[in-house]
Amino acid sequence: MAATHHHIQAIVDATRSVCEMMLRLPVSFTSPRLTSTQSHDVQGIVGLSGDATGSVTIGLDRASAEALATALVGAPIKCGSSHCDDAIGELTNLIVGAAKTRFPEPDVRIGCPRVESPSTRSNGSPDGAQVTAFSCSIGDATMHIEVALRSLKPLAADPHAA
Amino acid sequence: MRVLIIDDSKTMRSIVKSVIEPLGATAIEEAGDGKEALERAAAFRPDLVLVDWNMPIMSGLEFVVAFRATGSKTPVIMVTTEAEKPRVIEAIKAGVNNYAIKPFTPAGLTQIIESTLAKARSGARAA
Repeated sequence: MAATHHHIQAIVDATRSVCEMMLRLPVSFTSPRLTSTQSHDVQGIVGLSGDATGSVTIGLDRASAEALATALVGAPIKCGSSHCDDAIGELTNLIVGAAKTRFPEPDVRIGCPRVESPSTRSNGSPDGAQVTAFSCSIGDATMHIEVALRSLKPLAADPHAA
Repeated sequence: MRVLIIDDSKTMRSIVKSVIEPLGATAIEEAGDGKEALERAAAFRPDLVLVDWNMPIMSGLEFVVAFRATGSKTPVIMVTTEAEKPRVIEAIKAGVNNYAIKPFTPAGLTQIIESTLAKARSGARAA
């Protein structure tokens, strides 16, 4: 079973919570849509295993990566620096970590985050794979979230399943 | 107060550091994984440890088990996204004194640190 509205809602709620508590920035979301994976200037990726497998990717342009890293750290951060990569990795970890506790599956584990640019992108996240994606505005930044999940735990019938 | 902060993210270490500094920390050491933290703790002898769960090389949970095996009674706070009840129980059984769930606000983490230290002080007086 692919990502359901439960998973997407969990990620939306987790993103809102992280933005309000750790970035102190307002956030608004677009509606989720089925699409194919896109390339972004900076991407934070966290893999999931256990009752739900796959990955969640956060995609940002350079200006948005700088803005969100700066908001998280509380000091100016330049895109392309190791500190910016670390901040985007931690932001991804915070969102996915907070989301998985809201997933319907009882046992989901997350891996350590990795941060990629198009030049360092691994074969593990190929362009063109089908994902559920949505975007959010966080202050002046725009963040794209791609969810490629497969639930291994049969859930109760879900009329909203994507 | 000597504080050891353990997290594989430099960003999170600096966030935690900014919360702990106003609470009277006189010395702060940082480590990026549990193995490095065990080495640091032996020489640094912290009064408080804040540790992440998910880290490469040695996880926070493995660190806590190994740290308690040295006989240390130093208060340990797990600061993590692992919020599910079975994980919290697992951490407490391993020897964690308190638990802070990410994301957190500075005020929320401050409250957890202060209550952990107050409990540790009252426990030390009673002993």
